[in-house]
Amino acid sequence: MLMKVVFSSIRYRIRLYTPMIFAVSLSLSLIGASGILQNSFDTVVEKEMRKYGANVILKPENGEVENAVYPGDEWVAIYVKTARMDGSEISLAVTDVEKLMRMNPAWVLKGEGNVIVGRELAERLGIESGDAIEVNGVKGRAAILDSGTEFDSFVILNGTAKRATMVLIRTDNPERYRSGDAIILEEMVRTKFSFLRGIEKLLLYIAGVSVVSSLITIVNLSRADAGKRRKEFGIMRAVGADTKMIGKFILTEFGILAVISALLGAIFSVILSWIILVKTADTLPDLSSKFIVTLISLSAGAFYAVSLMYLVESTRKDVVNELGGE
Amino acid sequence: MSPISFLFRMVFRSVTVQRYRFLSMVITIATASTLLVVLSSLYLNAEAQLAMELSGVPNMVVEPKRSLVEVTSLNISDVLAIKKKEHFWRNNIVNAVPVLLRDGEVKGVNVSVAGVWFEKNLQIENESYTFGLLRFKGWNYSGEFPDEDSVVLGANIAEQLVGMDSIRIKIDGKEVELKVAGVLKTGSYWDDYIFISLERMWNLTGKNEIDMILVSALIKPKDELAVKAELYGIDSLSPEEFEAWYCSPYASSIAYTIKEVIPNGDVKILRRVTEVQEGLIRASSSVFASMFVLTTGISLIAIFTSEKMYVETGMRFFGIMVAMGISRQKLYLQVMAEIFTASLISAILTYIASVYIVEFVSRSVFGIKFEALSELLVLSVTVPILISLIALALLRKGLERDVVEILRW
Amino acid sequence: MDKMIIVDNVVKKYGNFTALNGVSFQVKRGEWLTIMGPSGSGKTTLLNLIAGLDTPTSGKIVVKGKIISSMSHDERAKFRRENIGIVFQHFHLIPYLTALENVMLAQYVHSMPDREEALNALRLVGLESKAENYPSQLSGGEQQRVAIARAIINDPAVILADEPTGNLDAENERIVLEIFERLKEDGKTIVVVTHNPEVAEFGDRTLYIHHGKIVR
Repeated sequence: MLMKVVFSSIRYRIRLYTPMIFAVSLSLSLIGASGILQNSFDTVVEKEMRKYGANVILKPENGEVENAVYPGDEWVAIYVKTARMDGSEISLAVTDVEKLMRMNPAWVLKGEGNVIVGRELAERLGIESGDAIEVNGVKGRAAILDSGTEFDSFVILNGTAKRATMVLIRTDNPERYRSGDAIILEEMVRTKFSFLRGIEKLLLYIAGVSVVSSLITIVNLSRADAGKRRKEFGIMRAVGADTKMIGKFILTEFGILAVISALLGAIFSVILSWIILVKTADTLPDLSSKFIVTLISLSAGAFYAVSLMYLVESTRKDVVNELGGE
Repeated sequence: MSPISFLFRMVFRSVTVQRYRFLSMVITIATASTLLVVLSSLYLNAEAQLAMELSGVPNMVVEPKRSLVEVTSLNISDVLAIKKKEHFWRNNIVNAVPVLLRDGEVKGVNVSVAGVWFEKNLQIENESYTFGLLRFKGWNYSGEFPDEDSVVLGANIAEQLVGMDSIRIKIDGKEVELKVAGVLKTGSYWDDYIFISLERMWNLTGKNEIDMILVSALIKPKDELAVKAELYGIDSLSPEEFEAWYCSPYASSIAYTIKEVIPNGDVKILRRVTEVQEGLIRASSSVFASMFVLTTGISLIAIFTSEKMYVETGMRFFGIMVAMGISRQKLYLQVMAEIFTASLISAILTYIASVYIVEFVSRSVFGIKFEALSELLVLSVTVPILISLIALALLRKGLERDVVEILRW
Repeated sequence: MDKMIIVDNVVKKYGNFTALNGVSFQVKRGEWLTIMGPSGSGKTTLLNLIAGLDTPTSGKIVVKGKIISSMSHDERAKFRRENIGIVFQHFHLIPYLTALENVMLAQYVHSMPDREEALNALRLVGLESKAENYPSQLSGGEQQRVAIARAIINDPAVILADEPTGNLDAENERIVLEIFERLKEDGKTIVVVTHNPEVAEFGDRTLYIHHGKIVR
């Protein structure tokens, strides 16, 4: 019987409760999305950090790579020697070019030639993309590499490095290489952490202010309604209901609203964070059960805080006088 | 008494006698508007602020132009040129550090030495700037403030010279003892360097030129236009495209404009840095955009419901006026006047709250002062008023409801 | 124009419920008509239709020669402010305006507020001294008198009153009804809805309505 009365009450007040539910669920979706994004943003940032490319440069002993690189790390071996190109002495690197470019997505290659000439070297020698050039007897067409690294002064040819002068490694765990003769490039790491912290804080502030805004909405809506329901509470008292029974009715009604809002909020959170992450970082959201629990708690908190107004109205001594009314 | 005076009197009475009802609406509009205004302000400045947050490391290097025929040189005037009015993107340059490189010797071991500004205050065309090695916030410096008699050790070098309070360093045949001020961890090749003041380096080498300028610039993420310029060259752009490219702070366009003011220089974009910076800015801007849309929804619901409540709790009075035969225009005027008054007061509250919140968030999240106060003022005034009017338009139907029903309330 | 109000075969339905079922009658200029009936008989509905606050489902209502039942919302509002004064059982004064301002409100709705005229109206109902009081500072009878002053300030031809003494004690009831008598002497056409036979005695004629039909 209680649930029947509660559902009838909710249906009767659907025009009032709809904006309340929306206000709370939108706010919750903001909080939920913030939480999901915080969890997932690490992944997003790691993904962006990968654009940094090789973060360890190793000079292997005896030119042997296999024992120098940890399993699971991405690596490319490079053999460097001097060579002659169009009468000038240059630094020549022989490596798996495709692997090299894949590891360093920030590098820009202009043209489709088979002889890669670093930008600085090209400018010095007056070489442009597509020019016919000859390196150590190998003829080909120039493609210009703009990497922003020392490779901009090199010529790079595709091939297998018989002995590696250096190994470029892309690893998630550069610390492993620190004891050896390796150069670890981690200049964006500090920036990354402070950036992540900054984003987390920002999301939290936004969520915080929106929670206040939503609370004010539902308080506003409820304030007027609580007074209007005095007659209803008067009728309940007149037929013999005590405070405990009326309280149970009110709390059940608001409990249902809280659950609906939390579920809607959870759905909106997932949709919102999915859109953001897939669009911007090609990553799926990282959900945890903790997030659903948090949303339900917040929703319940909001609605039960508001239900206090109704509870107070229902306990007023003059509520039965409302029946004398109009 | 004129009708306008009577209207003002009614509005004044309505808001002063029914203070609680009126204040409730004012607070709701102010809070919801503050949310929107704060977010809008942060969002409008987000890319710039995020770029600032990510600008703690150098993302470009200016080096002397080299060709087969000649090798040019750079000097201090080139550093200053980057911040002069002739440089189109001068306001996007956050830090510019001149560097003179030399090989040196410490305890018989060869070391790489860089002469730099540690932290230098500059006056360029009546504006003050502070540039220097220590202004790269993404690099981690621990130690005392270095001066001309100090060295700063790169992290890798520091491991080899551990425990030394001072070092004797030999450059170009001249030897000098300098105290170790601190250690700089950059996470890059610079960790292998010893840094001394540029003036000291000039003193030791007898030269006053520089080898490079490390630049940190605020950049905008690449889009199709920027990619086209990079892959196919700026000659492939139409005049309109070129103008659009030039007037957008891409890494490539900033590099181009630096070359305009430093004709002897060649600008190398540290692509792996800019690529990460751009990616992070892009990702976060999307986050902000989505949050912006959602909070707009929350704010609109808040304002709409509060105005709905305001009108509904005043319905009986409006119903009395309708029963007296008030015209539609006069009725709307009454409601609009009350809501407009609330919006105006909310606008003031919104501005005050927004200034504090935006400043707090800007400092706390981005570590910088929020600059766009005039923008904030405009938003604070227009947002509450606009939204209130929109909400009012939506409430019209409620005002036209059956007056008999209203009077039964 | 001898017939001030003509109600011709008026039907009013609310969904499946018929509040008025073919009501017809006329009210002469300067006449005081009382409409009586039990609760739910349709008398208030009928008054609301004559006032132009609502429109009939079918049938015609003519007031002062104008068919108000076919007017638009805005046209009825205009007609009402120029020709009809309404007095409600629950007074319906604006609580944040003084007695004088409540009367001036009716002038504002019509055209231009005039303090002196409004004071005159209060004088007519014996409340000049309470002009600056708020409704909460007035007794029920005084509030109703303010409501009457508000209803007559624009010199309407017709005055409609829905249970005007329903919330008043006997003494105040008498005062209010005497005011209505004076208004009738001034040539106003008055229609009063009541369930109180003592009020009906003041009128020229009484109509009885029951279950939406005129019974006598």
